[in-house]
Amino acid sequence: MYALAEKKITACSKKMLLSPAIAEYECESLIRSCMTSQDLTLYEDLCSEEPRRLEAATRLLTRRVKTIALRIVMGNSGARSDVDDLVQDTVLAVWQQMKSGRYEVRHDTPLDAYLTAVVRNKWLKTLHKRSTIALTDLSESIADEVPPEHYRLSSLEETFAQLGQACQQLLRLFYWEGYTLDEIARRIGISMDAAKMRKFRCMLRLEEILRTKKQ
Amino acid sequence: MRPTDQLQQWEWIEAYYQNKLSTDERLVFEQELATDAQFRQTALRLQTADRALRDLSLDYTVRKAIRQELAQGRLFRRLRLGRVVAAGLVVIGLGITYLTFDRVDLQTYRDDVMLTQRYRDLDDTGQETVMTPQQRTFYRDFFDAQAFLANGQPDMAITNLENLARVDSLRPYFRQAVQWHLINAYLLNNQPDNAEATLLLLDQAGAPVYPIHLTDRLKVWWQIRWQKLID
Repeated sequence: MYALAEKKITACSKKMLLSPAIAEYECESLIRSCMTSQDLTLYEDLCSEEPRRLEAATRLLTRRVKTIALRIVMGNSGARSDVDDLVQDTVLAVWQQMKSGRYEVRHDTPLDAYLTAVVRNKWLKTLHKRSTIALTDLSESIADEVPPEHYRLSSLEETFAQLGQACQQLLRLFYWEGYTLDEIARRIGISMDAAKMRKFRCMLRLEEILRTKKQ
Repeated sequence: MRPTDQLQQWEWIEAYYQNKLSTDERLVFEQELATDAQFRQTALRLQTADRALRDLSLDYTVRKAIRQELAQGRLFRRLRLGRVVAAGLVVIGLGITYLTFDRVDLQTYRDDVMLTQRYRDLDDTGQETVMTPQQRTFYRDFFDAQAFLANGQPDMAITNLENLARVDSLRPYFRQAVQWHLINAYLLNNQPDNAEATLLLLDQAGAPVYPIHLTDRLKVWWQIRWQKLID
């Protein structure tokens, strides 16, 4: 995942640095040319970097996936307690697919069909691990459409964890919690300029660890 | 104009990749990118880190939203289940309260009272009836027992009813009537053991001919156990 993410970030960064407006336009056009269903809004919200929009879309997606997961799990040797884990895995995988640009909406395939395929595939894997049923009943052609799952950000998380505590705290407050640098400076008891300086230094340190890891 | 101060330069880079620079400033920035390799590298490094951090923060947002949504679902499920359980407990509680504290209402009690009172009145006025002296005694004692029960004097009712229960020549209907009234009197007088023994006699007596409603049977059964429990 890390290699892929890094490659995309680098490629995208170069392109955006050269001409961000054109790159953005090209990406949008590419996506919209494939999107015809009413799921476009959900897709756009899931690809959004605005936390509130993303959160609302994720909740909506979670509800939809849960409905599908309940049907598949309860009808195939599962219990209600299996559903939550399956939903979480599926929503994360779908979101990461969409965000990474690997998800392609087909004219003849609504989002629910794709979600069903992902849920089914993941449930099959769970059952396979448990070896409770033969897989032949559920293996259908749609399973072929399920993309591989390796989009977790665990590697990035590991890299982040290598930063010092002060850096982690500041970056978490800024990126995760949405505090302004002014608020952060007051919170940790340093000047505004010192907070800005620390933030950029921490970012450069993070990039350095990322680069070292890549090599 | 490219800032000379390091912090301002970093802020300038950040403003660029956040699309916050004007067109003119952007042109100047891109000229610097083209001419200064070190500046270009710093810009790329900061943008890479910013991208990675934004990805992590989005991942955090998504995971949090999923957890909250699932937790909410679990809470709703629990609340729904909780409501059903609570309603069940309330119904059971009401049922137990009813069985425990509602008095046993012998279905034909009022008919009995009217009947026995009529016979007693006939006896008192000295009018000629077809009743034998034994029957007259029975009706008088039975009416008095009912009156004692109605007046909240179960101990006195018990004396009368126990006497009547010992009479051999009673027809099954009247014997069972006496026994049910006796059970009622025992319960009112907090004598669950006697009530239970009388109920056992009733059960052994054969087919029930004195009509008792099922809920009253249940009340008797429960109140015997309840009184034994709290004694």
